[in-house]
Amino acid sequence: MSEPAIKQTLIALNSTEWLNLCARGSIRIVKRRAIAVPTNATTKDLDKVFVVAPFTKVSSAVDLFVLEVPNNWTKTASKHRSMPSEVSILNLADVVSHHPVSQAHFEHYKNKGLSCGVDLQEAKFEQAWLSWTMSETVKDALRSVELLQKSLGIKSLSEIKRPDRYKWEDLVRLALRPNDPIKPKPAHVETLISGIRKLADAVAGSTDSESFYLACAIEWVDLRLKKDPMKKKSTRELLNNTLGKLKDVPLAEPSSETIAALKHLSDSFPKAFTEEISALSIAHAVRFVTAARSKRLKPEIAIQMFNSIEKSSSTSVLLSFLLAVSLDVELTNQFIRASTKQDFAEMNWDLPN
Amino acid sequence: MKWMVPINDLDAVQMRAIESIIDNQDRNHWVKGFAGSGKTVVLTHVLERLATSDQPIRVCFATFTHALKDLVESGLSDIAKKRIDISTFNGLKNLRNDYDLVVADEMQDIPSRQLPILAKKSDVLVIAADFDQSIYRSACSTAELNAAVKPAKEHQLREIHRINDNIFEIATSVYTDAYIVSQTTVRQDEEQARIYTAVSARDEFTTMYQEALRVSAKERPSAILLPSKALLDKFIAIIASENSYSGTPPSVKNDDRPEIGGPADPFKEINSYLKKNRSNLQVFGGGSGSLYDSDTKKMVYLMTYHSAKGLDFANVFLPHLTSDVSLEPMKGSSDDQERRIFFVASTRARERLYLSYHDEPHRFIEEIPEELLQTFHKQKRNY
Repeated sequence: MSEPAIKQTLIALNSTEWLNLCARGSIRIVKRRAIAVPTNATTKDLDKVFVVAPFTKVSSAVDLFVLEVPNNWTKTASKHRSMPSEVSILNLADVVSHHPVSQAHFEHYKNKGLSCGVDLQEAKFEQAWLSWTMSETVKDALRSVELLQKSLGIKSLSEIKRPDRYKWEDLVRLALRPNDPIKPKPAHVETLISGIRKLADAVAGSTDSESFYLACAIEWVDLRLKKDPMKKKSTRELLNNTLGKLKDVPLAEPSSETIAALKHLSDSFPKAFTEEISALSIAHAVRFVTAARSKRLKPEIAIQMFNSIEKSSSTSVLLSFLLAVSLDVELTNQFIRASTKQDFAEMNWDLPN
Repeated sequence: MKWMVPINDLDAVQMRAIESIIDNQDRNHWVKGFAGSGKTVVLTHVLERLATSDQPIRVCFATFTHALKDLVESGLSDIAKKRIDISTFNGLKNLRNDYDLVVADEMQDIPSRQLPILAKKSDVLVIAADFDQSIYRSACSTAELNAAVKPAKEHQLREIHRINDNIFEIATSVYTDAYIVSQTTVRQDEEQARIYTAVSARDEFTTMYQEALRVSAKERPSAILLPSKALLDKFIAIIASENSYSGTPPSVKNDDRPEIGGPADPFKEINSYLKKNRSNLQVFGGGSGSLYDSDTKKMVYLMTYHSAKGLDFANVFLPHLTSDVSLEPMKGSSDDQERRIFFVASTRARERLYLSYHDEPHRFIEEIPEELLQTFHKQKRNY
């Protein structure tokens, strides 16, 4: 029989609770927030501590502390008289050690703690916290993608079986942290998500003209195939000719001239495109993601673009995925409300934390 | 130039500040906040509300430069424009002395001698001032300004809307004394400032101009900021020669004096020269140049650091950050003042920030942590 693991009992508090505990010497707390985990707790073990912490938005600036209390605390703690079976009193004296979840929090609260006689300890749960917040953020993002796809009448992620090896969760991680590659052998979708900023940079001067569609597709061929699509004389002439004509045309829905040039590019470089990444979708992806990241997305334009795409296609699934992940869950909800009511003035980018 | 933020898009703290000022028109107010936190936006909404209320009061608005005066005016409705007297600090002396309320922006740079003039205009002052952005040596001291508006209700803005976290880090790594209030939030995106090491001044100016033109778009102009008018001349001469402009470019009249009020169109000649050569470049400042030109075409504005005060641009270029250059052209400038000038210049960028130098880099570049800057590479194609 293996030795039972040595346990520690941990409670996660938000900064308001922790500051009150320091200032008043005690706070009321629901007993089940005290979680026993092994002393060599894994990230998964610590998830149980974080999941019962009192906050509603993982990405918000709510500061969190993990307190270690004696293992018998749930039995010995004083009960609150109105709900003795549920609510206990956590006294400052009960706490064995106080750990902020990040080093930044440590620096910020060190002096506040000292002024109340509390010596903050190292932020030893930081890695577990980061891992937990990332996994919760991914779950949130996928929920918002599903909501957006439902509202736009687009196939949902669960209905799409990816032909490559990627899971949608991996792609969310990549979209949120483009500098952390998710697989050693990049496929089209990975190149697109991690290369959006590069593409946006290359076509920066064309964002307000119709040449934007073609510019994005040209840069995409270069990025994906590492080939200069303008190298061949006939292609160069056709593309330059079209780019010249479209340079002063304001960006709107793609004209027949744009569509024809994009088709020429797709036919000339078939390996650069897939069912979900068409020549036209590159521009949409670049526009959506950069606009969402820089808080300049206009719902009416996004809706207009979705309407121009075949809704049952894989392209629309990927675009809605990228849009929802870039917007984050609250803004996706706003976007859905704005598009449902056709009241496009409603987007408010300044969200409460 | 669309810069005004609609009332519905303001953050909660900005809204509270506006409501509080409107509800307390009998006392002084001081709107505070980091560069890009929306102080001017708050003041403009206050002006609009005061001028269009059922019982409009006599209001005057004053600010430092002609450009800022025009900018605020463009954010007001036609009715408000008619009802409010709008002026630079220099022009205040010509206005009446019986306003119910005076709203003043960029007050950290108001010269001491103009404080008594301002005080005569009204008993009530609503001001915005951030001493981290004070770049003129003639500016009043903190104590003088405190005395002029005391007692004032303070409104501390906490959300930085204009710049992203990367530019925030760069600006505060050079000007480490910048006051950052608790719970300050700043936008996070992937955008990172670029650094270009050129082989010569010609290479530097030409490359930065080409890039400024490439990334500019309608309503998203680029601005190239240089420390002195002598460098503006040098820049224009190089661009004119590289692009084979016809004729010799007129000088921007280097007198090494930042424009305060000044003549209405000091760069008329040079701008007319650039226009004749169908250049996208325009010299801006002291009443010259129009930001509204960028509404209809790609524009690259060239100006001194001082002329960029209070403004913002999609793309900001700070070339010529070489070791022998002082960012403050006036003699006897302090290190602290140079740092504030860099702080103000770098925080003008809404989207992209470019720094460049040739020969040895300026000490400020060396102080910026390497991971905050990415090396600039020219793009293969230009659309």
